[in-house]
Amino acid sequence: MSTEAQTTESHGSPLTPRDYIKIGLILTVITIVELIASYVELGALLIPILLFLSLVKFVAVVALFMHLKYEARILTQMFVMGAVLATCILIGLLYLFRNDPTDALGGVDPASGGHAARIWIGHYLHI
Amino acid sequence: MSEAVTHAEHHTSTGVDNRMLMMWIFLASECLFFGSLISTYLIYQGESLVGPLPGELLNIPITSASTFVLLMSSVTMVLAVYGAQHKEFLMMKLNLLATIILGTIFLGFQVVEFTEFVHHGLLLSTNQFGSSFYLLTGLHGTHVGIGVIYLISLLIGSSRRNGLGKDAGLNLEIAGLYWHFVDIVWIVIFTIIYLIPS
Amino acid sequence: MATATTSMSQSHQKSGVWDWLTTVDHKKIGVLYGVSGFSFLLLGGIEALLIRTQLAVPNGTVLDAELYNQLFTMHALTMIFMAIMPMGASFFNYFIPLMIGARDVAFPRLNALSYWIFLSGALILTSSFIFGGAPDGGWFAYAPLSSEDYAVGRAMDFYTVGLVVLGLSSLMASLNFAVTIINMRAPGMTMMRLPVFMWMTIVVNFLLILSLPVITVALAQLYFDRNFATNFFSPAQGGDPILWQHLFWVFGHPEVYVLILPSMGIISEVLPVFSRKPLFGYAAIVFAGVAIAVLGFAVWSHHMFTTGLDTVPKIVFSASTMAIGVPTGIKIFNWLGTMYGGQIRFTTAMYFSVSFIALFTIGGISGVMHGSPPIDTQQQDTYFIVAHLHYVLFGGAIMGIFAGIYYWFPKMTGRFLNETLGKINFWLMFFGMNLTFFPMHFLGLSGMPRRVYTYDSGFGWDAWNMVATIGSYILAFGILIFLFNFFKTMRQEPTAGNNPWDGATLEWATSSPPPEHDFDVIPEVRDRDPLWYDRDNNIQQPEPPEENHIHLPPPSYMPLIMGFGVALIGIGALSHLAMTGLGVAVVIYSIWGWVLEPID
Ligand code: HEM
Ligand SMILES: [Cu+2]
Repeated sequence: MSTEAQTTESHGSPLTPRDYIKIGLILTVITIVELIASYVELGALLIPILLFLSLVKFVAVVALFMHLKYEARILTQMFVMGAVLATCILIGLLYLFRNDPTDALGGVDPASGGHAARIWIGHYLHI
Repeated sequence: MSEAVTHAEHHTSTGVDNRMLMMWIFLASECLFFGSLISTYLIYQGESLVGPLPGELLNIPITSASTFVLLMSSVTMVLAVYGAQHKEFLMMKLNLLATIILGTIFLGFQVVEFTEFVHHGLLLSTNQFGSSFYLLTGLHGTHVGIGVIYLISLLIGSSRRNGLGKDAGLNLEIAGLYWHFVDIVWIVIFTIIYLIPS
Repeated sequence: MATATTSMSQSHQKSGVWDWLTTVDHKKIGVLYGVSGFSFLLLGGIEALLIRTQLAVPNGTVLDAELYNQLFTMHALTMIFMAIMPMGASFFNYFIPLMIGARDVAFPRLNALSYWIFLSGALILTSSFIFGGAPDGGWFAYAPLSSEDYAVGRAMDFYTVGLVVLGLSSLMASLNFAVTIINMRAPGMTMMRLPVFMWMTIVVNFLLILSLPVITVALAQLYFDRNFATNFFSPAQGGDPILWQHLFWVFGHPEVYVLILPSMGIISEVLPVFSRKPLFGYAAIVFAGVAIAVLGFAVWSHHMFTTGLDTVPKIVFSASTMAIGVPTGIKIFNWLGTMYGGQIRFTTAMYFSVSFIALFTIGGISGVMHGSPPIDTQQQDTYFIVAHLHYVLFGGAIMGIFAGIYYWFPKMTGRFLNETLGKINFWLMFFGMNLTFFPMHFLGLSGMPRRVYTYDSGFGWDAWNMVATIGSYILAFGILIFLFNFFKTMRQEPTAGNNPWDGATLEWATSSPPPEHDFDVIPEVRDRDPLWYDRDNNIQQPEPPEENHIHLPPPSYMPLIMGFGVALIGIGALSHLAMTGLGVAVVIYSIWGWVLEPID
């Protein structure tokens, strides 16, 4: 956090309206790919593919539309702190609920659903 | 104001504007807000004791359309920011207007979707899906709504005699940050709720 | 347009009611927070005395079960959210700009707004006593005790609404403080030259920024469960009460560090000054503070060892909990190292600081004990936990806050609190506190559960309970002595001068009390202990120019109006939708006024 250097405020990004429209098109294409993917039988690959594609969209918007790529580092540090912590807590919670013996309370039959966390994480981490 | 004033007030220690820094830290906080809501949704996925269940209700093609609308609103937003920063105020205003309209259309889609679901018997209290779905998407919609109002007030402000003043670029940039953030939250929600089969 | 010139600012002491209501001066807002926080400390103290009176003897009859439950719940909520947090915010407000060499916080009006929203939230929550009964499900409001089946009436809604409003206030304040420290430092004040108190402040504020949204979501869910028939926490419909516990403690554990870190920062300022030695191991203590914060997000389930966690999570959370002991231990050794070989001056502030180290260590050790799941299974929900949390919260947080009060009082008022009375105050609190809380370790280990309104004799608990009750009265007497000291001191002449303790940090470079614009000239920082460095190297700060026009933000009543609007929204959530609508209208009006108001 000790960015002492007087990083002069970079006014805006070098991107032009044209670039922005191109980025918008690419994002649209990714969305269409996602849509198609969700209809195709991809088996176990589906979820990682979808998560990866939406991560790409997420990062593109943050870096290019929100100009994080061209701004002082401190801003990236602030945002990444929140995004990473939120992701960790999300994964932690899903993991805990997968391992929650009290779950029987709801009388849920894992075959008909059960905790999503159980299915997802159990599947990929083999735990 | 004399000379001896205020040099400390215009430079910041990091070179980043105070409001800009605050917006980014606030967005970090918002990550945790939506993170908790999404966690809840996922934890309760498959926990509904009675229907209707997501598979019976979620309409992926229509939601893809609304996702597209929100995505386009990000493009127009970033163009509005570009306009403000390069003093092309007509471009700024038109794109701001377009963003507002697209945002409103997105909200319209959401209203239609909610009404549809209610018709099929999914109320807030029906089951775990209803509770966690409405809370998550409803609070996201609230954010969009606040964003629309935020942008409308900027549009009104920019049509005053001296527009948004010398801070126009910064003002729009900050509003844009909020708007894009709401968009990326939707990117995540769209994938997690709609695309990934439950 | 408000400008203050150096010459007029001293004589220009505004203090009418209107000035307080519209002030955007961080020092006045700091005082408002401090006075409100201390008032709630007294209220929470009265609640505690009632609890202890009831428990003094077996089968006590002072309170009935219902009132008892309300009192222990409100005692915790009052102390945590309305006493310790605002007193921390009071120091943050007053000293952030002074210690980093700024003229105000980054957003002065937002700062005022935070205070008014805090006050609204605190009043809403406290008013539950007169509107049909206060929340009674414990400060963590576990489901199903918080559900509409078991908590009939409005009490639990006061809890959700009150805490959301208080959280909103904290979030705004934290954003403001974080931006201020990152962005408004005086020239030369690099991050690694920040006073340790400032470091702990920034850590606290990031903890709040990142944990408040989680509890907000949980409170919203609880509110929906109670008012809109959702089933987030009721198992009958597939909900899971454990989710509430998780979300609560994801917030709750960082929150306990929010309570203790300000005090750790305060004593890190006091110890070096009264040992006449720079802080030992500055980098280590800063690093440890940050490490505590990071780890603090990874331990929440240690409050839930007995809920049926699986083995792996138990091991992980136990390990991370014990790992927090390491940075905590580092800090303790740093403080000891600071005193070691120093020329110690035994002032009251120093007494409180040293006692902090001892008492906090006791609490830390019992914490590590129930960081072990099998041990915790024995100790959970017994008085042992109560002993732990009071050693860290009273022995830690409150003792640290008193150290801060005695240390900075001359700066804030120009007057010294009486040292003799101060020491009487200290010893009474110190003995009272140990007498009250140490026996609770024994009570807990011999099985006395917490949160029972009475107990039979014959379990071997009678004597220790009596001791604890006597201790609590001694403690309360100590606080009365403080009040006496305060009022006595305020009638004296200000004689303190700029730097009575020979402090090293920037707040001592300006007058006591500081002028409205804080510094005539923004100081230039050349060292971690700027005042000592300048003194030892004979550096004079530059004289202010003849015509020293300093731009200050004008007062504004918009924050007050907006705070009122938020209060109306909150009240509406407890009564009628129309009230909420009115609140929204007031908020929109005030945003409008806020934006259009000239600020220069
Ligand atoms: C070395 C550091 C610490 C460790 C290892 C630790 C560990 C724990 C554990 C395991 C519990 C749960 C006990 C149970 O309910 O069975 C607990 C409770 C608690 N701790 Fe700590 N703790 C530490 C420091 C602190 C600090 C610094 C504070 C506050 C300033 C604090 C405040 C509390 C409170 C308020 C509770 C009780 C919550 C409740 O059940 O109402 N602890 N601690
Ligand atoms: Cu804890």
